[in-house]
Amino acid sequence: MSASERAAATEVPPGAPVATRRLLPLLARLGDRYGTLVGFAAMVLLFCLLRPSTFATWDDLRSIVEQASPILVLAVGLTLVLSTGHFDLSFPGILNLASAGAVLIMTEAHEGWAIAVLIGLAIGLVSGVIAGVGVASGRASSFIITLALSTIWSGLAIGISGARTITDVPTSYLNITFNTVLGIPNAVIVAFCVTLVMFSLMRWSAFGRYTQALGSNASAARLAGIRVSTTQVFAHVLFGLCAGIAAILLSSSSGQYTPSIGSGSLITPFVAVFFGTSVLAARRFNVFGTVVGTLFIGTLQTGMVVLEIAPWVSEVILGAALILILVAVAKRSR
Amino acid sequence: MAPEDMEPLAQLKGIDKRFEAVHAVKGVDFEVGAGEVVGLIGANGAGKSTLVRILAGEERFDAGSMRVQGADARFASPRQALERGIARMPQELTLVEGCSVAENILLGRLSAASGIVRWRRVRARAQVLLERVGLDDVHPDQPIEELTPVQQRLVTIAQALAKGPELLILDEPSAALPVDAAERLFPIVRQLADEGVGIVYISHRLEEIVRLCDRVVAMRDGRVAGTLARGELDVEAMVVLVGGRALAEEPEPIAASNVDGEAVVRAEGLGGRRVNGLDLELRRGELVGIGGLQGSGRSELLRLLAGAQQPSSGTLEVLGAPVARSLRESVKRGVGYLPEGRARTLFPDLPVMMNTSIAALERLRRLWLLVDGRAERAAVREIADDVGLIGALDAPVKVLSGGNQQKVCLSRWLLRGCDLLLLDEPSAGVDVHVRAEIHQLLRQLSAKGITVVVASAEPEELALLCERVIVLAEGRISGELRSPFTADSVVAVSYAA
Repeated sequence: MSASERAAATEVPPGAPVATRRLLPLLARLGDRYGTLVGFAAMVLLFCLLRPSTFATWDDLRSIVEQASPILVLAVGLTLVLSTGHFDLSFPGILNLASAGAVLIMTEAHEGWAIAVLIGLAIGLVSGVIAGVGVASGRASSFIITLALSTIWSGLAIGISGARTITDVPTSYLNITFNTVLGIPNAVIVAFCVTLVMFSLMRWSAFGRYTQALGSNASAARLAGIRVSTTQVFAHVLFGLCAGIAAILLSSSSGQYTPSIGSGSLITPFVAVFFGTSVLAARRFNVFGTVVGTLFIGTLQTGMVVLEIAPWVSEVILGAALILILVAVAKRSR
Repeated sequence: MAPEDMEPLAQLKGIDKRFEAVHAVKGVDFEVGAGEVVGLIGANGAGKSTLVRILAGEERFDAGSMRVQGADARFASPRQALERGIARMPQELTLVEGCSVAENILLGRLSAASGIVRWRRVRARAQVLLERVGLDDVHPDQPIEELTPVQQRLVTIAQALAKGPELLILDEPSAALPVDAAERLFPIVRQLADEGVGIVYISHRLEEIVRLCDRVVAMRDGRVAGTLARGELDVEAMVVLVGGRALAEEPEPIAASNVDGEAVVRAEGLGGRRVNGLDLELRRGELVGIGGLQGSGRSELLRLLAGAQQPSSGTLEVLGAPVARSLRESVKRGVGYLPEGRARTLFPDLPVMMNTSIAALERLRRLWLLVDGRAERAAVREIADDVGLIGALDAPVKVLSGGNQQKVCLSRWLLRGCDLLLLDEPSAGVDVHVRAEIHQLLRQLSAKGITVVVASAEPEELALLCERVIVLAEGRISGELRSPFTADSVVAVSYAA
């Protein structure tokens, strides 16, 4: 082989263009479909290698799932709202007010845990109705309406609690999350049930179809004879209820009410839901993806605790993860 | 005209392009000379758009070569194509509402190097471009939404011209326009060609191509099916090139057979936006056309019948009851309505299946509120086979060709079942063969007893399809024609107000 031939061969390997043309799209397709799952697995593997004694133990897995339960409840509810093409940022406020209401009804009015649970759910429900009607009725941005709503609820929570941390919570309330059925923590069971309901709604119900139709093209939904406003309101109401449930799980498992209970919770459900749109190249909001996304976040957070990474670093990492996911999804769906 | 010995403005040789499983363009040769208007025709999905997108730097090609103005070219972006003088005007209107005409025309090139917008200069530059596209009467400061659709289309051409192209690609500029309004584009396009701009003109309207183009390239299944020079241009030859076969002869419209059927629509002194007191009676199983010039109230009449707009005067009964107060109520009573433009009806990122079944879910339910997936699939499959909808039901509807998207729109109402079907421009932007299929489908529906109302700006379509045509002028009925009638008579009545 002469020098010039060799040079030509290195520049344009014979046959290679065809092969790369076949191979690259295949790799891109595989990456599109399984990229995030592979990334998830790699992260788990990394944590296991770094801390083989604490990570990947049964206790650790259990604590990941248990801690992820309230986030999961929020995230599957959020999946439904986002699929209508609107935002709902009211949940930090709901978390705050619903847990304050539930705890105070027990400590101040000496009601039982069941009433406390009902109060928490009712606050979520009312918030959902207001958010839904607000979003459905006007042209105002759902982003702003629900953000404002969150502020109102947080303000009210401070008002009724006097901005105190309340710790004398009855044991019966703590038992809601402390108890287990067949060894499975109640919180996990609740989260599983909520997820199952949301999954069925979005996958198989007419209502779930209507939310997706709404998110895809609202005026076309109206033309097809869909009750656009009703669908919108129901989506926010269901999400409000989810936030109420999450508030009860959170306050019960922490055994107290603190005014900071809802703060810092805004980002995690969003990361979970948007992570979910990238799982198996779904490109749409879907409950299965959200479950995977929640587990991803739970693992990431637990892993960072195990590795003794400072909390501020994990905040930075979560924010960066959301941006990365959004950019990757947006790029591929073009 | 370009001298024979000069190299063409752009020259493509053996261009090949694949999208994953789809081989969109297969070894195509194509060229455009300066001052030449080249028509590019072909069925939906034949590869026309992919080819021009390659030319405009919006797609890369896998194999072949491209020369632009005598030098090799391989564009990585539209910007690179633009630097070499190639601009594409997309099919969709790319206008920003709430901005003035001038801002829209010079969008993206408003500011000088200093970053400051010199409004006087912008306005003057916009004025020049407006004059080039024959919009002398439009003021640069006018809000864009005040313009008529054809004026807006001309503004998008001005937008493209602002980039100073030597090769201008017009991708279905007339698709969204009524035939009569589209006429305004022709002298402008000719004028640009005479100034030396090379033009690629894509259209499904073959009459337009005959009138406008110097040369026509027909594509089929990603290949060039044939090229016709100026002298050889005729519609029938083009139909054969596009479809690989002559157009199936459409049967004569059935002469009003159901004149004694029950009245499905009854209007007296009906008034609303652009509709001024008209009397109307439509009977069960009729296939009725609504004709008239642009702005005569065709679309508005359909909106009234659909309950999308409430009448301001007169009485209107639809399916035996006063017209519904809302679209939803109308749908429940058995009215199907497809407004002009598929984009307004479809859910682009949802699968074909969901797009088709969305209005019929209440019927496909079991167990309280869950949808019976198996029944849904079977029902959609059956309708898809009936209308000749090709392709996977799980693909997002946006990847379908225009013709297939139109079939999805129709399938939705067929699955839902309706007694009155209101269609605004049902064959806009679909190729001649799909159009014939849609017409055949509408005839079958009418034979089944469904009242079908077709509003169309094309007199030829109405004459081909409808047993009765109601022609509107300025919101009133200016005439009514019963089969047999000719397209010319529709035009004559349109102007007879």
